[in-house]
Amino acid sequence: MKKKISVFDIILTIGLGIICITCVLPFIHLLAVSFSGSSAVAAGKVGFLPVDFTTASYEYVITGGRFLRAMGISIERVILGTLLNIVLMVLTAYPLAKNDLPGRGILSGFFVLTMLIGGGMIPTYLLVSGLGLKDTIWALILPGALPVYNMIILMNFIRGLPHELEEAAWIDGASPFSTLIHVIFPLLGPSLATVGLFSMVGHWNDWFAGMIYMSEPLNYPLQTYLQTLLVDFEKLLQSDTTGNIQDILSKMNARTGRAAQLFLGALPIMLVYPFLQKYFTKGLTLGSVKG
Amino acid sequence: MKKLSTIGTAGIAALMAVCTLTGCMSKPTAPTNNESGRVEPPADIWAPYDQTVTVTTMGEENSGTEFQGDDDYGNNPWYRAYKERFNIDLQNKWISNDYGTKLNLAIADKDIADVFYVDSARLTTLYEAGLIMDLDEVFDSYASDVLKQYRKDYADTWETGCFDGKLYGMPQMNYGIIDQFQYVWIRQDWMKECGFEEPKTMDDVIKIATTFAQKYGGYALPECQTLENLFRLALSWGAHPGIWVTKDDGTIEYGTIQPEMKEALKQYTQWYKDGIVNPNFTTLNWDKMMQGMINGECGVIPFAQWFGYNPLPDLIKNQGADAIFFPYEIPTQDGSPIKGSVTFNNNGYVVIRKGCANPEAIMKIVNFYIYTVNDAVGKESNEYLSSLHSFNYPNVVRGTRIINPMNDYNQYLQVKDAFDRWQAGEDVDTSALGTNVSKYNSCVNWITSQDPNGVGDFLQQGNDRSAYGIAKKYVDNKQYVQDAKWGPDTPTLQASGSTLNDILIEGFTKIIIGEKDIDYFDELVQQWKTAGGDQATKEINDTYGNK
Amino acid sequence: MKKKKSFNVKNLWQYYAMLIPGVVLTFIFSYIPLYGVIIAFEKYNVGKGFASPWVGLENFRYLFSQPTFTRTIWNTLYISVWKLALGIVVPVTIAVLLNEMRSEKLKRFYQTLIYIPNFLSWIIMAGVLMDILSSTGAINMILAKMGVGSVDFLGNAKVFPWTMIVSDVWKGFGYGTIVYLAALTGIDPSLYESSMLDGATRWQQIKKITIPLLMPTIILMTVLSLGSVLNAGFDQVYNLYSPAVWETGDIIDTYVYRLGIQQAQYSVGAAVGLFKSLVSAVMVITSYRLADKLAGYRIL
Repeated sequence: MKKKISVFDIILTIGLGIICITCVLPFIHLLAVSFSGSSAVAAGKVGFLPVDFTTASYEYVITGGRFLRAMGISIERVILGTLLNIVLMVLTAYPLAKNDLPGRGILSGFFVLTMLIGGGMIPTYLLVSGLGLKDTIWALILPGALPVYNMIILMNFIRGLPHELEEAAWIDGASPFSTLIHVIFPLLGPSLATVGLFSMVGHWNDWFAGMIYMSEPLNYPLQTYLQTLLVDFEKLLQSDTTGNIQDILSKMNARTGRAAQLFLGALPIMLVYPFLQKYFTKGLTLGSVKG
Repeated sequence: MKKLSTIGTAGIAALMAVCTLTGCMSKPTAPTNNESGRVEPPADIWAPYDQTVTVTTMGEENSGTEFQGDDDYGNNPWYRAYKERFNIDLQNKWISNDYGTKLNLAIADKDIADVFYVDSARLTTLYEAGLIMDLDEVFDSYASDVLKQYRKDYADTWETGCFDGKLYGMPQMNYGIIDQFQYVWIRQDWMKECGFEEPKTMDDVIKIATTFAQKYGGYALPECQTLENLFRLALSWGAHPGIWVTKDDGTIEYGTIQPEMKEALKQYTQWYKDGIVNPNFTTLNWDKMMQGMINGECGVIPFAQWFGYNPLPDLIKNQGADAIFFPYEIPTQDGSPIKGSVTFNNNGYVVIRKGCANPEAIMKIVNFYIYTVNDAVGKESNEYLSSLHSFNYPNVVRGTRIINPMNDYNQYLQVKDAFDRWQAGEDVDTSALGTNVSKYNSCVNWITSQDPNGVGDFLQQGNDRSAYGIAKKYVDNKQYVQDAKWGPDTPTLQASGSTLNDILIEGFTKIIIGEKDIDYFDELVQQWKTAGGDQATKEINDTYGNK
Repeated sequence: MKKKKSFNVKNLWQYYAMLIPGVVLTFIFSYIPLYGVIIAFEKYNVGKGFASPWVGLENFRYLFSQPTFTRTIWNTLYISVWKLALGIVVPVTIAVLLNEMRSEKLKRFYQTLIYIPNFLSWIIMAGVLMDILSSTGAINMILAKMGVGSVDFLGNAKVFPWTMIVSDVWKGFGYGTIVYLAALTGIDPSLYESSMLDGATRWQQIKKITIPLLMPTIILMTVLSLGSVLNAGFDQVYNLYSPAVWETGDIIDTYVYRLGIQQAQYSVGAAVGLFKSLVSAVMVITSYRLADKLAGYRIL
């Protein structure tokens, strides 16, 4: 089947191209601002290329230390949180995937109900505080240790796996635990990658828990720290007197500094994303496996 | 399977690396309150304890403080002074950039520090929850004489910190009503060129303003979307917009909807029609209005006492030092003395946790701040006092400081006196000025080198013609109307935020630009009432009426 | 004949053992806080805790008498319904257009680009939006060059809801596009070929083949999104709004947060939260029922 390239095709390609470019232009602009001199930015001269190129904003980020600390906390959270999420999702999804398991209805209802109602912010806060988790990394991880929706996606995937492998394992005398570890787990690859990625992105992007459960701004994870920048970075800059920072400050302003930090905050996801895109895409269709 | 364990090992290794990196975010050792750890206080309220007393507080991260050297929120001149003078170790339970939120969570959690500051709504919550201490006993025994005098002098404000006649929150007060008055600011070089004298009537003001506009271009009166200049000039008609006024029959009503305001609005509408008020004001926010002033588009503006700090320095950099503005009294319609509006202004309340082992230690801290601003001059070195009061260090003790409402008044007397003597060629002993020396220096700098950064202090308090110079008369003669709402907002006012005022501002704007005629005012008042104004008025009368 | 079980009968207990960690954590963090809903029926006093005076439905009565609350319901619905509507129209349009593209390589590249903003947090997006939408930002610079006056996208109450709607659709349309594209790849190419033989134009193909075949997916996505109609986007609105735009921009979630945490009106905040949670639960259950009926979609 041959088709000629028509005017329509050209318009289509260019038109869609423009729309798609709008999705990344703001970030290119942000990058340009972060590398530009403060006066050029204030005068509105910066478009998509840096003007009066300087790395002062990035020097500030490194000298200031707070950004790096917040990033460390976020990385810690992503690793710990994602591992815990995966372990709990697998452990919960596997038994629930057995349609005829006695009591399964009640058990799955127990989990699904939590998606519908919650006790609200204050009681949850009192609980977390009462357990002594406040100001620890666990306050960011434990309350959401089992993401129910993703667990259901995984459960539906497990249901779709061929049953014969499990039965063969049982005949060899394998217990459910060893079946899960040796037979099922290795088959979970792609779906686990998907829900694991959702967990990672969720942990990385969350700012609210950090704001509520960390009383010291020094213990904020990255997104929470960035949130405070949106509000009062100007004032923060004015009061910064660490070391030779005044020298750096003369070449940057709140806008370039903020741009640099926002860009660095977005960078890990932008870097990881193209490689893992297929898993993200897969996740969208996984959810609609029929029961 | 092997792959899995490799991933696991790698994961754990990475985790450990991160943990080392961030110190695994070790829980900060929260200072615990030792309930039984009471240390017997010395008899003299200014004497140190034998044993170190630990007191906790929680505070707000403020961006104004410029910490010097290794100083931070937990180690700074104030905290060191407490330790050195009284053997009190003040520790921060936490410092947050979102104080209100964190405080509410802490209250819900009943996990509060020994001392901190709250607003009036939180004061009520804490009192009802029984989490804070009745302060009467510790106040009577340990408050300094000056602090006790504050309570006497500002009894009505201290009343707002009481429940059933017992003191639960010590009001932190403010820098004084001398800051609250309004003026007409007039540009001096133009005034001289045109040969004008101080305006005695509102017609004089308009004459000056229109002459400037004809001669130098621009417009006669600036204005912006919030109509703030209208509300300032309305004082001339005896209107008091924005505050609650007591009527002759003793009931309280909102100032912005009174007949006097309608009269002021009527005249203002005429001025707009005559091209006196900036025709473009509906498109201008405050910053843009001030940009016009900086560009020299206008030589007369109704404004508060701080015009000299913002935007005047920029205006002078742009237009030259001769373009200085001086403040004048707003003339009244009938020639009677002008009466400004004075609102209830309180920075918060200092509260002490019920169960705090050494509440008198907190009184010592509170006393000490007051001592440094009131009677330490001469007893302490200027260097010592300014180490406490420079670099915005007082912000660090925001939770425990009580301000002297005569602060700015007394400051004016001191600075003006020293400045007068300097101008008369006398030697001035600046060591007697204490922390006010920087204000004095600014005034001198303005005269000697026309340093634009000094013009603010000069116009605020440098001489009789300064804003404080005029306001001192108002304060001394009680020439003002006090807000009948002498305390916090009532629930309806809190809930409606700015929406009630927005109805009026939007409507007034329509009248001024001629979209509606002046009788629309009465319709607006009805709208205001049904939108919650009636409810608010009722609450105000219930809470503040018949006192 | 005995029906074969899908589980290992001999070691049945192990399945329940596996569930223990999940059940315990869920119980602690999702069920224990549920007792907090009683705050909504009390005049909550921190000192008395849950033994505070019982006021029944008083908090709800108070809420519905507050114009500031009723307006948040309206704002929430306005913003989220527009987001839902455009969140379907835009991705479907883009997906259909992408599907018409000849170059597979370019098509995949385009997909990659539009999917990026979806994974960035609203904090990052808010920072970007605040920068480009400010009065001196890129968008107003462009408007000025076109001779249009500057627009206060975040501070003008009339514009603000649309700033929220458009930026949300912009951030999220890549997700929807990929779902619809996935559905489109399932269409039998022979349908197009035979219609070509009948002399159908491409527009006719889109109208007669593509859209009707996409319909089930469109209906499914619409129905599923109905469950979140009371979620107008807390992360987005909270980080971009200001008192100047409360009139049109304040949504239920931001209202709950301000009331419950920033103003410490614990009881009223809990009442709003409970109200929203109940309505949402009904919406979610209804939408899943509908999805099952209309599209045969079941999650459990």
